[in-house]
Amino acid sequence: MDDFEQELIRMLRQPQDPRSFEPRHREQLWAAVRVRRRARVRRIAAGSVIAAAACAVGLVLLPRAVDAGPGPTGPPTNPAPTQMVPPTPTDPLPQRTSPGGSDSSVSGTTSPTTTSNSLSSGASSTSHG
Amino acid sequence: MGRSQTDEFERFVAARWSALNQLGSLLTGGDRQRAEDLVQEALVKLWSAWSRVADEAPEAYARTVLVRLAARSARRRWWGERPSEQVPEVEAAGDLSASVAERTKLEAALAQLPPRQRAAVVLRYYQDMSESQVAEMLGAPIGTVRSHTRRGVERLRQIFADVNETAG
Repeated sequence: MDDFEQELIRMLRQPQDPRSFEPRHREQLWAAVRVRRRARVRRIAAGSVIAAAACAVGLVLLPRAVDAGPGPTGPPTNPAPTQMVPPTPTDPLPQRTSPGGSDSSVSGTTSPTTTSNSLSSGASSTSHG
Repeated sequence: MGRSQTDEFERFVAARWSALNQLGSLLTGGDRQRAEDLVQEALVKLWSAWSRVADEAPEAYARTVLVRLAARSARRRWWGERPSEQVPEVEAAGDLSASVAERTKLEAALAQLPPRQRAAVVLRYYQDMSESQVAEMLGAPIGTVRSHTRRGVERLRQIFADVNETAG
């Protein structure tokens, strides 16, 4: 800290005449407190009115929105039912190449979805063979 | 709030009125009316928070509000502050004592500083606060406070040098 800074501190802290808190200061202070309190009450009241108005508007609009239902461009609420696709055989019926084939070999080479067909064809083949 | 809190608040205000006004006077570059208005506004805010801060540090709260109000109102140019180019020459003669003349010169020099620089200088050299305390009070980084203080002191040094040169 140099000389100028020391001098600055001395000047700043030089004792001043005390200023007393006079009755007029007291009146002005409490008047300002009352003004601030009134402004605060008004602000809170205004906020409450705005909140109540927003709630009222919401209550008015909500039933209308519910009654109107989904709009034409709105997404469907229920998905369309899917149709059951009948099972199709994934493998064609095996061609019987060996004349001495048995039922068990036929049923062993067919898929589970074609069991009834293979059984019937197998039965017919055995009856014919 | 109860009667006892009101009495307690009024006792505090009466005890600290002078000190707060002197701080306000330095923060406003010697504008006593403006300082009084700012002190009153700070005290009104203090009363709103009195139940919370009464038992802790009411004066620190009031000082913080006062400093921030001074910096903010000056930034808005609400008070139409117009710093003069030259520090007025005040003769220490007649009914003016030398200390009053010196005080007037100091306040006129402070009035030429930007508000943030003035606040930083006053808080550092008059209130004897650390850089971190000033930073917290002004709501600014320490580096900014250091810069404001250095520039403010340099500007004051230059102003007083010019005055002494003119007087000499």
